[in-house]
Amino acid sequence: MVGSSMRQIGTAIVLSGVLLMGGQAAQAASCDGPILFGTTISETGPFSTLTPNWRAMTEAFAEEVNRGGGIQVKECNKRLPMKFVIYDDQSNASNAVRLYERMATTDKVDFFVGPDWTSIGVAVSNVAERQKIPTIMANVGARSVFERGLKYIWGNAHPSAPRWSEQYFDMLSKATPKPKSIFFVTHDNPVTRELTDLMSKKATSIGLKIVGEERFPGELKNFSAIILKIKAAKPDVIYISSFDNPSVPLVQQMRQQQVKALDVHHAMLSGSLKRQTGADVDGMTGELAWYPGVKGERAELWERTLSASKVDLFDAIWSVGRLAAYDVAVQAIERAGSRDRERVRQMLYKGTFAVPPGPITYDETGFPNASALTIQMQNGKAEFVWPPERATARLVWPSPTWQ
Amino acid sequence: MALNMLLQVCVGGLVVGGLYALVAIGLSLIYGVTRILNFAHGTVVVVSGIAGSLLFARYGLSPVLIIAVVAPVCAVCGYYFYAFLIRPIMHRSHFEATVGTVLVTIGAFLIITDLTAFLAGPEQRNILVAARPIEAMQGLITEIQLYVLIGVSLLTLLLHYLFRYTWFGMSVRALTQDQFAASAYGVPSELVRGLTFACGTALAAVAGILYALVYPVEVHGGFELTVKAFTIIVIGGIGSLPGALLASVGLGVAEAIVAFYLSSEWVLAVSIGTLLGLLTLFPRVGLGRHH
Repeated sequence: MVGSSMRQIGTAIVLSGVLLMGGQAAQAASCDGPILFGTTISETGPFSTLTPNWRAMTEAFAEEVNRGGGIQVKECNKRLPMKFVIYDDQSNASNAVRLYERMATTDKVDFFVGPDWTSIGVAVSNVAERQKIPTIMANVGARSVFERGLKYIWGNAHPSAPRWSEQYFDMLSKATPKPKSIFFVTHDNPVTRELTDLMSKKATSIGLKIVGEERFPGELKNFSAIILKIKAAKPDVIYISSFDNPSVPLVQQMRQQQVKALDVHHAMLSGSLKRQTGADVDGMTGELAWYPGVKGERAELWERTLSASKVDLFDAIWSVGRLAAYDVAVQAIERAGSRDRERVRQMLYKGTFAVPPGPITYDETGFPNASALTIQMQNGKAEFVWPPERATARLVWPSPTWQ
Repeated sequence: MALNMLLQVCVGGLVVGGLYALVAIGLSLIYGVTRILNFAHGTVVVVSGIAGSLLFARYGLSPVLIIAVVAPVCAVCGYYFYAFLIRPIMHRSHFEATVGTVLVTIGAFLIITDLTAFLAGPEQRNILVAARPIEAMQGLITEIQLYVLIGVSLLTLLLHYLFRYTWFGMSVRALTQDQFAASAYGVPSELVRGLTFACGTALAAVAGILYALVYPVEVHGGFELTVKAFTIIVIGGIGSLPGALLASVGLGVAEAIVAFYLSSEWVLAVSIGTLLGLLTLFPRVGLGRHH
């Protein structure tokens, strides 16, 4: 009886394997139907504040690509339409895992694009690996996610952590009067902690003395202790390595407590921060990967997508990572000339992909190499100030509002 | 630490503590009279803050007027929430009533959160008013912080008067001390419970608007506030309003001092550490515990 059951189970496993392999082979060879991209968006739950209109943006991107005929697939000798399967992961990693499994087995998508956020990305990367589906993730920024020997994930955080404030530190090295000291205020989160570690090295490399580093939990509301420490250290530059929302009271209280510096830099300066702090952000510097109107390759495609979906990149800074993931997926398939997952996977390691913020490449772990520009809030508007060749306004240095 | 620095740290702690107090007093009041653990309490705080933010941004209403509009609406909602959803469950067996009310309030917390996120959007909001700093004793306090502290103090005095000298207050105190005896002596317990729920919810609404004046509120942040308020009312002595006030202010100041001397990373451990220490070392002691 037991032996018979074991045989039945064994046969079932072998048959399933054959069917699965057959299915994959058929899919790889298929030149019919749209190329399916599976994604989840955090439309509800705590991360939903970061994803306004992303479903519309995703659909608009596909529409724009399809308006141009679709994705060119050389081995089919034709263009195939692009189609998204979209679910809400509710900002929850276990939901996301369930949904990506479903997209792999029930919806039978060709590729995954997304998810976002390190906590969800870590969990979903295991699905990608198990299902052997190339997963071009969006805003998954912590290097630790990629350093686990996985072969099917790529990140698209814009900018990537090692290059986050690259332009800003270049600007500091050339600014007059030259700053001599820096104080880091870090939101206690894997991404922002890593950012502070990396930027501390950049600061030291241009001769800045680090006179303090304070970490704060995302729930902290009263920043008086940190501000008193900043005031005691008298730094020339204050570098806030934090997501925008947790640092709203910090920025407000720094103004209320009359903190002075040559510049206050916020690594994730956004429209949300501006909306909540009003004039308090004026004069602050930050990073922005790109904005409509600024030159860049494939900028027209992005501009049309953003315009159709009414997404403002300054309000929703994480949209750049999303769009980059979609765009890289399209380019990788076109360059591979096939919808075959393995060929696309190989292409993702080799290529340099053109997106408006600048070319993006991946290292052997799938970690991206993407840059951003330095912005300064001037009269309530975010202006690109560095590098000078892509600037929309002149840098005002030292920042007049922090004197 | 220099005296001015200590003062500065304490001012920040007082503001946070005062806001905690308003949240915790409302919850303590509801628990003291109805014996209901209201898991939706913090959600009322953040939803009121969001409503206040929208009223301020769209119609430019003054915060006082916003309180005058939002608090009564919340009080009415609180009363009917008790009357229609809680009261029927209270007539069941003790076990069913306890589990039932917990489930109803958790359900309310989830529904209100999602509904608010759907209607108002999930983004973090605040009531952005100019916060001019005032220099005093070599320290700085903003006008808004000052108004919030004054508001919290006035409300505390008002509550003290209400519970000390009015029929409603005496009924509340009687029910808090002994529900059976109070009913036997003619206290209309159902009405008082409903009014207490209304009063506690209105307090949460006021707390939410004052909170949004100083700090941003986020629709998913309600549960965190509820947990903080539960911790405070246990430290302060369950059902004790002065205890809740003392525990809130003490906690706010202690968090600020810990952030200065150790690190801000330790702030979240202060309340839970105090609670665990108190329960472990002095299980029968609370700042304002009734015996």
